[in-house]
Amino acid sequence: MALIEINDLSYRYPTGDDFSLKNINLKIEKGEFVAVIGANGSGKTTLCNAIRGFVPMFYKGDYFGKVLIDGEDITNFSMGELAVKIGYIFQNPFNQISYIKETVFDEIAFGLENLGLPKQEILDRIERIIAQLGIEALKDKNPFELSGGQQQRVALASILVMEPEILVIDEPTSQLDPLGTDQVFDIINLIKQSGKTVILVEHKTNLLARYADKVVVMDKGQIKMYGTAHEVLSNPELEEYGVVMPTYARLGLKLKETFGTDTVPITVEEAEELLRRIRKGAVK
Amino acid sequence: MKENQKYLHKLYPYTKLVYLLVTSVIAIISPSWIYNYVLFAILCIFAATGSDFKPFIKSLCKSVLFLFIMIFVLQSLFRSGEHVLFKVWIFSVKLEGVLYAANLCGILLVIASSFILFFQTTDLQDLILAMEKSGISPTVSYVVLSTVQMIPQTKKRSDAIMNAQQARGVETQGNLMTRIKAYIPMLAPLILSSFTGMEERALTLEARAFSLNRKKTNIHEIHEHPYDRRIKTVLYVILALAVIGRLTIWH
Repeated sequence: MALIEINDLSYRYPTGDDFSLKNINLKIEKGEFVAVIGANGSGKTTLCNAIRGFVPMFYKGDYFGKVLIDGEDITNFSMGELAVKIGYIFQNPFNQISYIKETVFDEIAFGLENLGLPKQEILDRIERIIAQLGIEALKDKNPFELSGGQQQRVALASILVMEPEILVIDEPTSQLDPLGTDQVFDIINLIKQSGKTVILVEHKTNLLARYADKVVVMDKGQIKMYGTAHEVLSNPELEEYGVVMPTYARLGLKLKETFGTDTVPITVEEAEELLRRIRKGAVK
Repeated sequence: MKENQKYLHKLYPYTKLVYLLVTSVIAIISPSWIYNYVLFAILCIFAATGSDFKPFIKSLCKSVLFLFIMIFVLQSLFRSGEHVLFKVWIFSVKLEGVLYAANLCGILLVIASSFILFFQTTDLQDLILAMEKSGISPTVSYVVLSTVQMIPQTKKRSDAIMNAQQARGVETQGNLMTRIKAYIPMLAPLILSSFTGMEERALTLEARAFSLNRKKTNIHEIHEHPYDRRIKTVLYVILALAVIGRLTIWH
């Protein structure tokens, strides 16, 4: 049984003219890292909200179909119970603070306090996550006074520290520089390796090519492509849905045109391998 | 913050609430204005030794000085009485008015300075913590804390909007009328943007399991010391003596 199963889901926001999600079917296994890509307004965030249960429990509106977590209908859980199971980091980092804590340390503690964990465990977990994300310098700062990138990291830390089974992350690197982006991907990769399930909305296909197991491509509320990262990211159809292909895939497609190579690489390692084969004359 | 803490900071928030109550009640029931000024002097001594005197006086001036001047001017000029102290043109300053103003200001002065001293020496987080300990719901404490935090936030946002409007050519400097006019294009975006933020804030609380029905932990602890209890007892005794005294012999 899949960990997350979406059956024929359609949804329209109360104020929406058209459906934001149309007949979505998706199965996500435990431990998978699934990336969701697509143009702005294609329904990526709404899909995340549906997996987290904010659709339809927070946002009302027309809802058809089902989302199952561990085989159980998501609407059978309370919002509080879902917070324990599914961590959700949303797009705008600026409003992702509790607004009642005066230091970053306390801010990160907020979720754990709500979980009612013993004090010592809370302190240990915070120390660990702070070290992992490299935000020691921010510990005593006021969460309001951070830059966008810093707030994004604090938002990430505040949810990761709760150690949910499933993580839904909506564009966590929009405010970060390339170095920060790499760091965040390293962390997401660590989380994945610890056996957790990750659903990530992200535009940076070069990084997705390296880390994601599966990729979902959305357009106008529908899933247009779904498959392994390699299948999807090497497919030139991607560009029709407003997604920029990974650099190496674009190179690969050119090579295919010129040399008639059989595979399209998506990562630097795959590209290197292919170029070696071309040089050796293995591919004509 | 923590390094220049003096003894008033170390008291349990409730202990300080009790002194707030005691000084306010005494200020109101005291038979003569002289007692209130003595009480104010005592509060000043506490402020100087147990807190920071300069900011204390500063916020006191900011909050009540203008009011006092108004009270003195109006009461001494317009309160009817027989003992005219001196005359200025057609106005005469009467003794009754001056005394009445002194009395009124005495009460206000004691209450205002007690409150200022309380908030100067009490971290709001501690007060809320104490309240949570005695059983208020986390929702109430969230509402109080987030409201207080919202004030500097809103100020910051209004500055940003003001700058943006200025960049679009809205006149924000100049005489009073221009400044008032400049507020109108600022208010609408300010109010609207706080509404849109609301939804995400609610989601943040959900994401952090705020609505989970479990006993919450608090990583900060606050303890009531034995001396807090003793001080409270003394304060209650003073209050009782003052009330009983006022009813019997204190005129």
